[in-house]
Amino acid sequence: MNEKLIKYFAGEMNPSEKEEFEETINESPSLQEEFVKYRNFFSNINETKNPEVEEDYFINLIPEFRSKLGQRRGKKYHPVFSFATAVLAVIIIFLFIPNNEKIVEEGNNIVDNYSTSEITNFLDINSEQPVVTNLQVDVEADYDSLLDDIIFKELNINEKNLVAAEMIDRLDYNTILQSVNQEEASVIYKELKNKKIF
Amino acid sequence: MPDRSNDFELVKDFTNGNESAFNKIVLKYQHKIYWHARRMTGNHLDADEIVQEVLLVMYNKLKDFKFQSSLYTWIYRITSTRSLNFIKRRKLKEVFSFEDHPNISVRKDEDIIKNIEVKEKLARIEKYLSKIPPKQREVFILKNYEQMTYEEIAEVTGKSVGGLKSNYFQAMKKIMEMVKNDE
Repeated sequence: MNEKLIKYFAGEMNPSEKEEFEETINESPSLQEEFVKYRNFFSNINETKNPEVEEDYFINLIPEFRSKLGQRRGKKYHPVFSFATAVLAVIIIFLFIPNNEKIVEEGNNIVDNYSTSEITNFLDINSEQPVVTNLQVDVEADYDSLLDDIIFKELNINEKNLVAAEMIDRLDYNTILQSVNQEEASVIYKELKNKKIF
Repeated sequence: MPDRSNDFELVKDFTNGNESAFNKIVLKYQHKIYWHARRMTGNHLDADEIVQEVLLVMYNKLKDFKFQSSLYTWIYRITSTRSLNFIKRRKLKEVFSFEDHPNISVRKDEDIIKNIEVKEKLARIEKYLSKIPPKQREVFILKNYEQMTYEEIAEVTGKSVGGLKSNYFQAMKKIMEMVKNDE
């Protein structure tokens, strides 16, 4: 790129420099060809400075702006309403969230009226789920076999593939149960259930 | 360049609560705002969005306008800043979009220019302008379309005259290179 051409079209040449450069252009056909391209481009800029446009756009500009301004005012922030909403939300939370401390206290009072054996018997008879704490202490073997049964059933293990199932027998359930929280247990259970290993 | 003689009166009237004074200011400068935004963004829809933003800024800030610069320069400053911010936002959208140039063809279709020949010439210029960095584009537009001096551009952009000259030279070099290679 001839830097003199840039200076020429940027209007950064004084009259004598300009005259001298124009003479150079006239003497060089290749420079002349390049010069014509730039001259056409800059004359296009001049021709597109104030093009004829659909005036409807400019006629509607102020009404459109006023309409948007009106909409914005309609949505204006009102601190009083915001404060009232916040207060209402706090009241609703206090009214509808159960008081856990009170429930626990009431539960403890009921339990205090019964002996340990009465409570264990009651839970054994009425609970659909095994009482894990009781099993861990007294019938650990049954607890293991009960868990085995559940897992064998979920994994479709039968006598034919019992050899593979012996691997599960070697797992330390207590350690797993102690280290896995409720959420993780649910995830593992779902994963196992969907796996369909056998 | 618009007649700036009664700008002071119009701003004063608006500050005193005369809403129609704001309309008069908009009528006086709307073409300038639109065309500067249009040349910066390269299409009508983006320019329209910027125009609405500029009018809102003017409406909210005009009450604090102290005539430390001319109203004309102040409006150009808002339009330029808004256009540069808009281009940045658009660029970010393009980067985080999985499409190459979302809606660009749709946007080109909507225009307010009547004459097809002029529309084509403008599209060619806009194509070149879109390929140079926005800050160089800004100087090129203010110099070639608005015939502003470097000192006036410095007032609008807040940049030094030396920096602007360098930006303009770079813009000219890139555009002329594109023109040279374009058949």
